[in-house]
Amino acid sequence: MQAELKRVEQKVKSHWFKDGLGEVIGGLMFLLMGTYFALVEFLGAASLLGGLLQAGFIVVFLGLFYFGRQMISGLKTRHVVPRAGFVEYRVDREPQTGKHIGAAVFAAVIAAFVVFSIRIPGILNWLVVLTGLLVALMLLFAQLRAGGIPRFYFLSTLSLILGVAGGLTGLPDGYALGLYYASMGIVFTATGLLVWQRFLRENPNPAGPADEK
Amino acid sequence: MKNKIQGLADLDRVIHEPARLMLAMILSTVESADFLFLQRETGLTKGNLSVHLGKLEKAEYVKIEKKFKGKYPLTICRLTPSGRRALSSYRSRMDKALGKRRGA
Repeated sequence: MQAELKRVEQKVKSHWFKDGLGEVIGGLMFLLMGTYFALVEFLGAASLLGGLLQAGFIVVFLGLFYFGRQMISGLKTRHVVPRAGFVEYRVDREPQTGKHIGAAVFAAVIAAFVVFSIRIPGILNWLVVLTGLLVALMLLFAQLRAGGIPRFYFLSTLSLILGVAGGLTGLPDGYALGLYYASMGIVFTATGLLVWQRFLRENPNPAGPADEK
Repeated sequence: MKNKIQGLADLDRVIHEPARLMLAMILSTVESADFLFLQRETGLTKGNLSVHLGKLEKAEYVKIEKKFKGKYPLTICRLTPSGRRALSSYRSRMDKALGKRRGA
């Protein structure tokens, strides 16, 4: 029965990814990130605007993350809830040491990224590889945790390949990162739209409110 | 002293019914879910789902509330603490009984 409960739990968790909206919005955010990195490179850190953009990396990153979440939530409320229902996920109340360590490592990597990219321009190409690896790991983690989203294996592998390829291009630092983010953004958006289309086909909008009782 | 298999006779019949067990299992993995979500996950008809949710609510295993998400009216269901305890106790009884049979 424990195994069956685990299966039910995974199925419910994978519900969030069934509509592809997370990938569409995530893809658009990646495209914006790509534009940001390319723009910083194009303007140069020495210029006022370039310097300001580089210094505001965390603000841009968090801003896009917040904006993306709001957009996903809004779109799900409007288009997914009437078709597939609403579910509020359970907040884990168990000890979260592993997650905290993971979050701390992730924050340290982001901080190192900012420091190194400002101080040691040559290292940035390695950070394209690292970024590809991190995104690949996050996708893999999402698939393992939720299950039922095999396309994440493909996206995870692609992220790794694009990260390594980006690191080997020999392009200026910002352009290499920009290229990685833009490529992943296009792929995320494309796969997300395909999933979204299938979701709409399989879940036609009901004529009226679906709830009873 | 009772045999473990005899513990099956004391199973909670509110939870034991397959449709209600499905509902309890789904609700135990989430904070809350609405009627449509439960209907899609269980494959029950609206009428059936309504009846089974009513029985779970009567046993105070499920709390049902009407809410709005944006413009949409939702019937939100959540497992109560006593519902979680009942499911947990049901699971341990079943695991004990089935475990004994497997080992036999």
